[in-house]
Amino acid sequence: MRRKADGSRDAAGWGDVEPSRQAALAPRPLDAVEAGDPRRALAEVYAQHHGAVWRCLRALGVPADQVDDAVQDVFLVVHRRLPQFDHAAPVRSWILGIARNVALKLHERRHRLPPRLALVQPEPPAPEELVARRDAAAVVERFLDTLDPEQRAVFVLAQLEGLDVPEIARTLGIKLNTAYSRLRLARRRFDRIVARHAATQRRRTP
Amino acid sequence: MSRRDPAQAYWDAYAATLEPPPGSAPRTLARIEQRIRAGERVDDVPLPREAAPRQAAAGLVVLGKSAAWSVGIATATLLSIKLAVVGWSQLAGGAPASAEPAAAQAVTSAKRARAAAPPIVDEAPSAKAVPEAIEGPAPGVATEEPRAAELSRRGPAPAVADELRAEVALMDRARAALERDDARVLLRLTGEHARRFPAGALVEEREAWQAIAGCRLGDAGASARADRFLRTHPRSAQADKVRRACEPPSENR
Repeated sequence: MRRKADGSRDAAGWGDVEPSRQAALAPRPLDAVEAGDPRRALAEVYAQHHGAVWRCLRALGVPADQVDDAVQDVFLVVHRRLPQFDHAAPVRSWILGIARNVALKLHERRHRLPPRLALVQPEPPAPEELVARRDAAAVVERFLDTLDPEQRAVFVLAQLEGLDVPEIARTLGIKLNTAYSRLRLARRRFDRIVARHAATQRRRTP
Repeated sequence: MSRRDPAQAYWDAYAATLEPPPGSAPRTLARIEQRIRAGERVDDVPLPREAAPRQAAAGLVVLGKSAAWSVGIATATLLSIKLAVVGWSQLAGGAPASAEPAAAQAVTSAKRARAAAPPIVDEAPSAKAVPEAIEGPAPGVATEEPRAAELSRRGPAPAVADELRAEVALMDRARAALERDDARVLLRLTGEHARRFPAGALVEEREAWQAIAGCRLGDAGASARADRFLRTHPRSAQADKVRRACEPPSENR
């Protein structure tokens, strides 16, 4: 279910709000900002990028029960910074960069605090989900958890949002070669882990 | 950027789990707008460019536990006083929320406490830091609270102030849920508070509201939780609310 270049279905059940990737990446003037209507500007940006931000935060390791609040945090930052946004830059990359910062902040906070209290039970997995797909998803999730935050961000932006490497480098503020290197290493590890898991599954299957 | 199988199949299975809950987008947007109206401010991590360390977030760790405690106690005291006078007293008395939310007022207090501290660089790709986000040193401003100002100059106060501000903002949201009798959200937010601020400045409120939320949701352990709260905080401003929410009364009343 990678985000394709032709856009994607509305995952949030909120109408057909996801733009084509091409449109999302193209420089787009924020008319509402220029018109002095920040509320409408926020609503427009939110409608276009909410789904991507949600997925990105989740893939960057934000726990499921904190994603909605993290999405709010991202768009609060977006709202504050919209007037300063460089319209020549792709909006989506800019927002995903903020999402990555918010995710990183949460990541650091989690590692500085004692283990969470078990006051709110995690949501049970969707019952209709197939076991095999759930296992595969779990393998990917465990793999992502083994990556350091910087490498994870590169991998997720490439794999989930389909950003090309120069765009990833711009989004994360890293050198192009560094982005290439991190992505190559992450993919190599991913392939190894998947191959190992698949082989194990084949041995178990009669 | 195609991925070859079977890696792509695994990734697709994972990506399928990354969908926002149906119908969540409008609710989240409404919440964002509510937080904007409340004047809440969120800073994403002061993320340096490539390969830079993450000292800002780890400031307390670098300074050590004792310094962290000192700073925490000093700032938390200021915050508690402010909250006691302005914010939470209204809730205890059942009065409507003030025009200026408790979070905003606590933020003012926190800003004052960190006035003499080095600025936090608030940076994001393709966007310049916003001036108000990085209020620089303000000589002469900190005389009102010399203890906090002195601690601020040592470095970690901005991080502590940010933590406190975040804590108050979170509990302001919880209070809003309490006021609109949304026990499910109240439980979730207080649970988040417990995770993020296990020893925060507003633990008493958290415990009270968790008991209230539990009672309203009919949780099995809610009554025991309420009893425990009333035993631990018999004179709390929240005690009556807990009793009312968790009727019929327990034997500890």
